[in-house]
Formats: sequence, C-alpha cells, structure tokens
Amino acid sequence: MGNKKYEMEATKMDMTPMIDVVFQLIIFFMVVTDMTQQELADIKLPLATQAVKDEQETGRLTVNLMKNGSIQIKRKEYSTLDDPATQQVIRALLADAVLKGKKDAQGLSERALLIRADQTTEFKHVQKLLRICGEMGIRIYKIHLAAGQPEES
Amino acid sequence: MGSKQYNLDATEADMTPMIDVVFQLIIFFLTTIKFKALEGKLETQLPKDLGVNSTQTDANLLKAEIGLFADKSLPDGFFITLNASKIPNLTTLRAKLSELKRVSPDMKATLYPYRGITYAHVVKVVDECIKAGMLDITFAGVAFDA
Repeated sequence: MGNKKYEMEATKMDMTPMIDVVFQLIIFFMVVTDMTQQELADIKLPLATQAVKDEQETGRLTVNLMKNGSIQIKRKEYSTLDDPATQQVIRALLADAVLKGKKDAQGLSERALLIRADQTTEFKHVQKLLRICGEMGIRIYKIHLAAGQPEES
Repeated sequence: MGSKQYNLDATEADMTPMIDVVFQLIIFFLTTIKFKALEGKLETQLPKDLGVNSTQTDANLLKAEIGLFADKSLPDGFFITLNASKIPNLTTLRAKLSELKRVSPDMKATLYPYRGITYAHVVKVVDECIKAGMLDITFAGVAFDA
C-alpha cells in the first residue's frame, strides 16, 4: 500500500469576528467596573429593610470600619482610632471635607459622612468616629450608616 | 515628469500581539470585577449643639431615648430600653415609637448604644425607628459609656 498524501495548504482564519467580540467584552467590563467602588472595602454590612438607595454625593467621605475597628479610607488602611496617628489623619480628612463643602446657616457642614462598618464591628469604634465628627472645626452632623438592602423575594 | 508609482501590494498586519494584549485586558477585568451589591444607607445625625446642653429638660416632655445593652445570653445578643423601660422585642419598640410619633410628630429618637453593642444592633434599631416613621434619629453626645 502506498502512503496517502495529504495536501497541507495553508489555511487562513478570519480574525475579524473574534476581535469584534473581544472588544465588545472589554467595553462591557470597562463600563460595568465602577471605579468609585474603590472606596468600598470588602465588609459584610448588616441588612436594613428601610435602607434607601445611596446616591453617591460628591465630596462625601466614606470611612470603612473593619471587624477589629481598624479603618480603611480609599483603600488605604489605618489602625483603630485608639491610635493618635489615626485620629490625626481622620481629623485632617474630615476637616478638609468640611473646608471644601458648603455650610448651612448655623455654620455646620452640609457634607455627610458615610460610615460603612462590618456587622460585627463594635459600635464603640463608630462612636469614636462620631466624637471626632462633633469636634470644633469639623462639626459634621449628617451621618449615613451603610446597610445592605435585602433582596426582594 | 513622470508620475510616481507606489507599490500598492496588500500588506498584512500581524494581529498576534494585539490579541495577546486584548486577552490580558479581559483577564484583568474578569478577575477584578466586583458587581455592585445592593447597598443602601440609613440617614442619622449627631446633635447639633456642642458640649453639654444647659437647658433644663422637662420631665414630662415626651421623648424617645433608646438604650441598647449587650446581652449575649439573648438570641439577638442585646436588649433595648425605651425611656428607661425595658422593651421585649423590636416589634414592640416599633409599636411604641409609632405611638409616640403619633402623639408628638416632631419627636426625635436618640440612641444610646452601650458597651458591647455592635454596628448590626444599631442598624436594626435605626431600621425599626424608620419603620415607625421616626426619621429624625440622633446619637447621644459624648456622655455615655460606649
């Protein structure tokens, strides 16, 4: 028996449809990736049925309080508010937010503070943060507590 | 002068590096993407007055002071008091707050979370206050034991 001879012609694949699909995928991911979520640390929020949709206000500071009370702001981690260095950083950030924001007739900042704490975080850590908010030169009184919205069944 | 002649042979671009980069991008987005979870907020506020308020409080004035005390022996891990009276559960708290709100529409709820109370406990109580129609929720000043 003689050996079969296969014709090995160079076949060319049309890459255009694949590139189209791939670009569509990239555009999709770029659109749905919300860069503002960089502020949101990965923590488990408690659920609240009355939580209203959070319209992200410009200039609002988001403070993430982790389980152990340590703080995360814009992906940067700080120790708990027992540490004077952390207190100083938080004071500076809050004072800066107040400085840039509007003030009401009473001279109090109209800027709100969003507190995102893990459901198991002791409230004393939040309380320490609230104390700083009430200090002279800061006086932020609008406090938003982040909570998960239960999924509708 | 004769016209210039250009070589118009079909040139083929090598697509391989572009496809490599594009796949890298897709892998990056696939691994970093985090779809937005349903997240909301509960609006509260701090007292607007600074320091100790020297105004005399009327003992008969209607008020809603909610104390939160940790007790790990309880299923919820905490118990509540309303104006120093113990409240058996959150449903009762809501009913009592609704009643107070009906009598005095301008009433504010003031929360006193004591030692051992977690963020989830506070959120539960704030949630009940809002359900009861009490939208003005404030936290006590610095004088309580947190």
